[in-house]
Amino acid sequence: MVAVPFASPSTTSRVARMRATLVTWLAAGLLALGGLLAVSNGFFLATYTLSAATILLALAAAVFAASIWAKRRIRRDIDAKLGRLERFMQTFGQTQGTLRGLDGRIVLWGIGAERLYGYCEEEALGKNGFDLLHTRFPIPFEEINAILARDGEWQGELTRRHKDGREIHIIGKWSLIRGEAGEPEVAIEVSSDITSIKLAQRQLHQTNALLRAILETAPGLIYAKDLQGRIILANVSTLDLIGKPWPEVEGRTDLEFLDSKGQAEAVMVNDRRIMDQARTEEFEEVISCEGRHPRVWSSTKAPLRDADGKVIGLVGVSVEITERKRIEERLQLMVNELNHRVKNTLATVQAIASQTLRGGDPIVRQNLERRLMALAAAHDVLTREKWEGASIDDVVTGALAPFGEGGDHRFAVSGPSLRLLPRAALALAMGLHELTTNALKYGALSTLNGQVAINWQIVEGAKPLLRLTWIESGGPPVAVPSRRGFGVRLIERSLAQDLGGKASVIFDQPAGIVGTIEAPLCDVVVSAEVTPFLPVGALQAGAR
Amino acid sequence: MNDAQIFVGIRVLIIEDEALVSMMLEEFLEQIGCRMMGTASRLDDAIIKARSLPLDMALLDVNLAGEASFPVAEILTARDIPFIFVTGYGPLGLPADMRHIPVLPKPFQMAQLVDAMRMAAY
Repeated sequence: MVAVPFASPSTTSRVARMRATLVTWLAAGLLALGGLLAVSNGFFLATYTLSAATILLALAAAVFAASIWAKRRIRRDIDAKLGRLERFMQTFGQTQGTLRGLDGRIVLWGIGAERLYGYCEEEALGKNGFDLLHTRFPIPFEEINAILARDGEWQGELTRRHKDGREIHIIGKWSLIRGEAGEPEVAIEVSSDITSIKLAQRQLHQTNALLRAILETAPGLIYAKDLQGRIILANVSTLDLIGKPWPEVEGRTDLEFLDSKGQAEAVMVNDRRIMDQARTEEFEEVISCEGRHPRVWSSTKAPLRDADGKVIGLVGVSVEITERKRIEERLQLMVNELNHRVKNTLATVQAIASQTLRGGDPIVRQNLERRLMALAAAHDVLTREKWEGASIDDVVTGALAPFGEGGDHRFAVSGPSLRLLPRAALALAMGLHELTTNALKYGALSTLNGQVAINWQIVEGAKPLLRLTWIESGGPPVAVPSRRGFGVRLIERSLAQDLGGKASVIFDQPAGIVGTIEAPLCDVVVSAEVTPFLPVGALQAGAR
Repeated sequence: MNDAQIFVGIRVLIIEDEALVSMMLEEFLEQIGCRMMGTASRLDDAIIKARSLPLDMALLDVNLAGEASFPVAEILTARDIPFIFVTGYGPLGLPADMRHIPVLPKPFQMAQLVDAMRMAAY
């Protein structure tokens, strides 16, 4: 049962009731008159007055009956109206509508309000709704009341608290209901829950703020263009580079911003291609500037799509790498110069040795020459890699190359790809050279069918090791030399020392020579995490 | 060394700024029977000798005391005299139009010198 807070009879029912009252009074008057006549008839004309009194009484009875009938009809009418009102109230209660007194006291609380706020009717009725729901108003409550009193209605966003404590946002529509004299009686509140919309708005706002922050802090150009290449978004860096404020940039193309129209067209053709192919691409762009060196940009451009996935433009990020390119070029130049010096020095050493050893043992001279060549070959590998390291395959192949002519089948080389540190690469190249020379003179390579298996692997453990083995087979019977030659000593000492590990050469009779080199992996291999970075200063200088 | 017989009697100019390397080259070339026409260690000297000497072959260091020797290469090309570059740089240090010229990387063995000279001559 919905509490009906007040009964305001309609105009029509008031007229009907007044009429019924009038009839009742009329009947009462007639009855009184009849009674008077009946009383008075004993003194005057008995027969006449008695009949008149009877008629009056009958008339009064009829009028009474009519008044009772009229009252019953009015009652039915009122009942029907009250029933309708009650049904209306129930339905109203199913919406999120409530009624409250002017003091805020809740007088109607339906199932809709219960669903919205969590409180049932018993918990809500009679309470102050604003306190119960911890209502926060967009403007002072007094102002709202003033508007309500003036206009009869008010609408605004309210923040309230659900029974379970969570905050809900609603749009409230308030209407004032006035009494017969026009005085405010109660207020209807109809609420719409906009919490999810509010949250979505807040998220959108946060996303926008985040995007803005990224746009403004990213050390590079961020921009978006439409299908015609017109700029539709540009961050501060982009505007700084163009040298114009946003209103003068929006909707314009590169043709207006780049010094060279040809370059602008080339950039736009490339942009267009990326949009057509709808694929993200990364590349370098060289843009010349009047009176300055050309600037090099590393750009990533991706197609920009609408909600349906249709390409409507592109988004680009460009970071200037002019300085980096310059440093790279200088580094390359220096590496070339270094290599040139090293090679010249080696050639000079060769020349000195050749002069010094003139007339001596040609074998000695050849040995020296070959060792110098091996050293030079290892330098070549390192130079190609800018002295950052060398692939172990390249080092091994390079060391065997002078001996491999027409005899590649003599070497079986296997092992995982690794990048050696420069020092390790040089040491390994020299060691392999000695082993090969020895094998050619006395070992497996001194015969037609002898072979050498070179294998390296990573030995896992607390401290992983790189283990490289050199195993000769098919050679002549091996004799342990009475004196360990320079080559063997170079391997066992120098190599072990340079690699921070251990090396051994075993004259394994009769199979052949077995060489083993073991070194801590971390001391010989370029760590994957240690990629050569540019100094931070260079990066900053290249940012704009 | 029999295949080096083809170089017996040919007239060679050595352009090399490292005196010791130059001496070694001379020794190598004399061993295979070449006739040494002269040596140069500086660019201006090298240009004069490349223009004026009667030559069948030249060995040309790419870097002469910091100066590139390509002007000499152009003179030799114009005179149609075969030559090889002797360099510590490798072929990448050469201008595009000279990449076909044989390169003898330093340090080198005699066999490599002979190979490079043969490539230049044919």
